[in-house]
Amino acid sequence: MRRALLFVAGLLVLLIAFGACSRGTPSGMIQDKVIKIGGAVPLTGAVAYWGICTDQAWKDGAEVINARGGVKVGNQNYKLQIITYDHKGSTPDAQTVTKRLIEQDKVKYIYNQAAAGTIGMLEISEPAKVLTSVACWGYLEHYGKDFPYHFRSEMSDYEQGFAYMPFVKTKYPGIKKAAFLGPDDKDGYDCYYSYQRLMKYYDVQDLGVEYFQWETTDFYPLVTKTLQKKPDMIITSPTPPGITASIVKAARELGFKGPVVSPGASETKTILEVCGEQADGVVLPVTLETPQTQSQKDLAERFKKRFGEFNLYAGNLSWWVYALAEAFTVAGTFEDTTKVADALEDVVLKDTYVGTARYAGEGAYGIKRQGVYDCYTMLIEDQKGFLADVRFPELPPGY
Amino acid sequence: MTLQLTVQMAITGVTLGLIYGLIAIGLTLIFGVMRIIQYAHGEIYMLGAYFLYYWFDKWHLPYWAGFVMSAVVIFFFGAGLQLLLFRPLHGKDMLYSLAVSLALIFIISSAGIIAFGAVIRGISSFVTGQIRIAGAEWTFERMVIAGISLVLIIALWFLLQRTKIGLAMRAVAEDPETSSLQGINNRRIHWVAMGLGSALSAMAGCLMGTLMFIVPSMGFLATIKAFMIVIMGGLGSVPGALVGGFVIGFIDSFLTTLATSELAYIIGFVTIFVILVFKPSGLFGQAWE
Repeated sequence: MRRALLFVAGLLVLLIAFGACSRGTPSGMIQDKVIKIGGAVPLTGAVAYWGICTDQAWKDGAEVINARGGVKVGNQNYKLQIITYDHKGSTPDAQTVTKRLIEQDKVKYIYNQAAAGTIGMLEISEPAKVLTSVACWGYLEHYGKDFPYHFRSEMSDYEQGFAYMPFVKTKYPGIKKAAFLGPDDKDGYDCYYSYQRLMKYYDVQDLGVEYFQWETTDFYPLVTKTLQKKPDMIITSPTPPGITASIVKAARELGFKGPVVSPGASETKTILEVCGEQADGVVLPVTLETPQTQSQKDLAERFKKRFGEFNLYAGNLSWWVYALAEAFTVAGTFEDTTKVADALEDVVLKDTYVGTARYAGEGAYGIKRQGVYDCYTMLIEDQKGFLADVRFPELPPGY
Repeated sequence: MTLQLTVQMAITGVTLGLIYGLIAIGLTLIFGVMRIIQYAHGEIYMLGAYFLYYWFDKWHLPYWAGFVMSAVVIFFFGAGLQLLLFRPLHGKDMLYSLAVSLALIFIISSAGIIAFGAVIRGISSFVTGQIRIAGAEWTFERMVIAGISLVLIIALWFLLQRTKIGLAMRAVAEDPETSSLQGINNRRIHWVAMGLGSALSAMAGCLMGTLMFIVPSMGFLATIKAFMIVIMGGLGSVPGALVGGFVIGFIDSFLTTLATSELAYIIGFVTIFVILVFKPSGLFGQAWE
């Protein structure tokens, strides 16, 4: 009898609990209206570092915005939901994950990273009118009026040049000749094109380019060849910190004493670790290692807590999600990506990790989709990296 | 072409050749003894480099002790892989071990990203300074690394040619069944060879990590170079790995400096093709069935 009573009581408790759950779960889900944002980024493979940083930036931003109550669109608040897939830095994989995000997950906004993945994504995203926010410096034929939903939110080496060249010319007034080192791919060719335009604009003689394979294990031969041209300055782009460090180390060991500028390296730690005392004279634009404002410090701390690390590169990209959220509010919609794109090109954010950030480039590219922001330039001297210059790019007239 | 440039290219070629040779000998040893194509050789190389990074740059312990400890730890890691994963596949089609080693690439490199992060790191130099020869620069770091590579390659050759265990390894490589009938414990030789090949790879990772930088994906490049050299020199041949390393090292140095890095790549592979056409087993290799 006692067992039977216990059984019935237990059953009642279970039924009540189940009833409570069955009422609570769906209503809770319905109450939270969401805007889905897709991440098509390399999380594995050779360019995983860039992809992981991009993903962290969006996830952190979405969490912050959601914690504030979400994004106000019309009279309704929406939470941001991030869905990420790994495209491994490959064009076919990027096409696959973009299709999945658009067709299966029904996203209208995608962030991407690295050239190969961006090219794959654009073939799917542009015809579908899906707005994309990417970091891609090369492949300029895939950017402009024919790609109205494609925002290049990361400031490319060309725009950076209008901040670091004035600094370099002041710091090293004797610079008359420069040589360029870049990867032997479309990114490298396009960055060399940017460099050529910059050198012409700043009246520095271009001594030519040497392209390296990504598989290069030792930069001695290439740097030996570069130094035969007797440059005053070496610019390398787009090269991650490790390759930049290897180039700097080889150049210094082979007797080069001038500055080495690397617009894509974005951190001094690796360069100091690899090069030691030979790292002096390395100039790294868009690299803020010592947060200046309270919001920059807060962001760095938040990343450390949330991800266990704070990669500066993630900080550089952290403004993208806030800009998009602002565009939703201004446009009053998230369904119509054309209206959101129109709103996004006019968004101006202050006090981001990269200071003032906005989109520009209508004169240069025919469309206002290129991210431009304050350029924090680090310089290594006496084996220490320090913030040497902060300025918004001094863009040429008609840019 | 000036004398200074010629000497610089020659110094770079010699240094690169010895380092490439060191990367390749572990791979050639493993294949020679066990007929296993260890595609995850580069990932072992990466683990060795990270061990030294933590030992020297994070825990601030002596560099050379870390170099030795990295080799010891990775020796047992490699031996463990042999006992757990490769031994059950012994005697089966080579495709099985190939599949295992391919899976190991993804497991180890992905675990590397989780454990070490995707951030690129550098192992601090153990020595600074350089000498000038006919106007060309040769840093002490490169000189020491080239010297150690040479010593390790000679030591392996000596071990294989002049010691009892080396004789046993060669016997197992030549004919496992007959060597077994002669009382050689093939299983023991297998895990020793796998451990030794892995340890050599780890040491190469330590040296290259010091010279360049380290990142969890660094093994891929090492594997490509190692395979180019091993195929050219002959699978299973230590002298072949050394000669192959020199050929690729000199091609990289001279052609990249005088022409372009693309041409260096093309000529590197064309050289391999030419050698394989006239000697399909490589410069010093024997014909494997």
